[in-house]
Amino acid sequence: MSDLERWQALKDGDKRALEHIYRDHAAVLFKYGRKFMPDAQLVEDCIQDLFIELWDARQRISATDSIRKYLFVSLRRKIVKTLDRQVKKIASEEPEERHFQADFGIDQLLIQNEMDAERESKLKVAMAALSERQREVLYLKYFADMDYNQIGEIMELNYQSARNLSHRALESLRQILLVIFIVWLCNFFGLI
Amino acid sequence: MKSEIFTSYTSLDFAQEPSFIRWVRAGDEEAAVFWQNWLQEHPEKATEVAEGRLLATALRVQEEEPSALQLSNLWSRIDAATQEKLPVTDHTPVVPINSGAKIRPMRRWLTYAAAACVTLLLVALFYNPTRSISAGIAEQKTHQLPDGSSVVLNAASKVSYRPLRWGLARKIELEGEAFFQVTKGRRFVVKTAQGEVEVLGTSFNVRARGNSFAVSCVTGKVRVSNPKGERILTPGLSTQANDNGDLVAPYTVGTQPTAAWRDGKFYFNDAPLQEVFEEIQRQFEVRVQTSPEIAKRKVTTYFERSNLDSVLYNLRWTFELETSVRGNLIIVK
Repeated sequence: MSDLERWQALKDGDKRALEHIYRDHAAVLFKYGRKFMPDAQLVEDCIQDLFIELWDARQRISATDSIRKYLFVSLRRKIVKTLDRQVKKIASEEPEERHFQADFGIDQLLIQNEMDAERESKLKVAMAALSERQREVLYLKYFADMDYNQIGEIMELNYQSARNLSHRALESLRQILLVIFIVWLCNFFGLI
Repeated sequence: MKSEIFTSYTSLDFAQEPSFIRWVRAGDEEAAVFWQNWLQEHPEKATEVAEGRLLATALRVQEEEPSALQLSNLWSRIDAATQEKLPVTDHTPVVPINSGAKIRPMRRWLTYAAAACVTLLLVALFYNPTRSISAGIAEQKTHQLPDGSSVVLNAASKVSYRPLRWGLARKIELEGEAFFQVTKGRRFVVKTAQGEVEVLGTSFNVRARGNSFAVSCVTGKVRVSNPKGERILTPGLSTQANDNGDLVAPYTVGTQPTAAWRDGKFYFNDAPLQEVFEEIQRQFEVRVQTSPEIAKRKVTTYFERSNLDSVLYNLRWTFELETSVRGNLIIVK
């Protein structure tokens, strides 16, 4: 069943459609949510509210060609709202940038055993230089299979900004890989 | 797919192209066919493609998968909250008022009865109290388990088990030191924070205090396991976890009786003085104060619970230490 059909079934009040949607997307939503909120319980609460509201509003929801994108957009909004509320409770400052904390690493095959502790920590520092928005773009692109239109909608950017953001993130990643590659070459020829 | 546009692609563009990602990250077959063909037609792009593949596959993310239980519990909550509200039966004109008045209290009563039955059943199934027995400082306790097995607790030690589950699984948790005499039967498991001991029917001693984990087998056969590995012990053999946490090869303890502590005798074999002091603190109601250097010294010694003075005497003369007593405090220099 395509996303369009399943969405229509949901709008028609088919409870099984809701369960199907949950089964297909709950795990990815959970993992995405955890990047903003380290507290798993809070993420569960947001997902729970999201699905209950989806069911209650099923007759009014707009059509979508990508259920996953729809859910990501809604979950992100919900999380942002929850976090803003928390921030306001603590201090009445401007709500700051949301923290997107994806713990990225490089495929072990690429770094092999040549990495000693010092180099590994250098790699960590290099990865940490990716901004939070760059991380989120890379995450959505490579771990949630989103295209730029979808990423734009989720992160509230236009298509071109989403693309640029991703381009810059990949450029940084290429530089990191280049450093690793050079280190590896030097190691290989016994220069270090 | 419009393949001409790709000739102007750089490695960065490839790494962002959805079908390219499907090929290199997910091994999608349709995408694989397309890209392999395309590469054959455009061999000059091989380097860019290789680099793009590297970029698109390099990233790993460390994240925790939600457990199946977590997800199904969450669904149950959502399911419950989105339950269609049943049509309200009150004031339904179809039901005559008379019979409605009769049936409804009856139904309600039945509902309550059913609920009570279910609750009772659940309680019977899951009511699973834990029984704990502990021996305090300067105390020793013998306890009979439901199947006739017995456990002797050394001072400052504690065991706990579930009496109602005992028939199903002989499982007991231990903190400290105890001697077990196990009647033949199902497997008998002693769980400690440091490792597990499993037997069929035998007698054996377990010490699980702080970092130390040591097991001695007196009769029968004992399996000892901890996160680092496992050892089988036959009568007369002991094993213990060394500084790395590995269980050492089974060794004989020599002439000294296993679990002599039951008779108030305490043997130490090449043990740090720290261990000796800790046992002294547990057997006499005292505190021992000493320097880290002294605590680290390894000794082979013996003391009896009958007399603290002779213990101190032993410390003074055998190990050339100075001891002074102030009330409950013993200072060793």
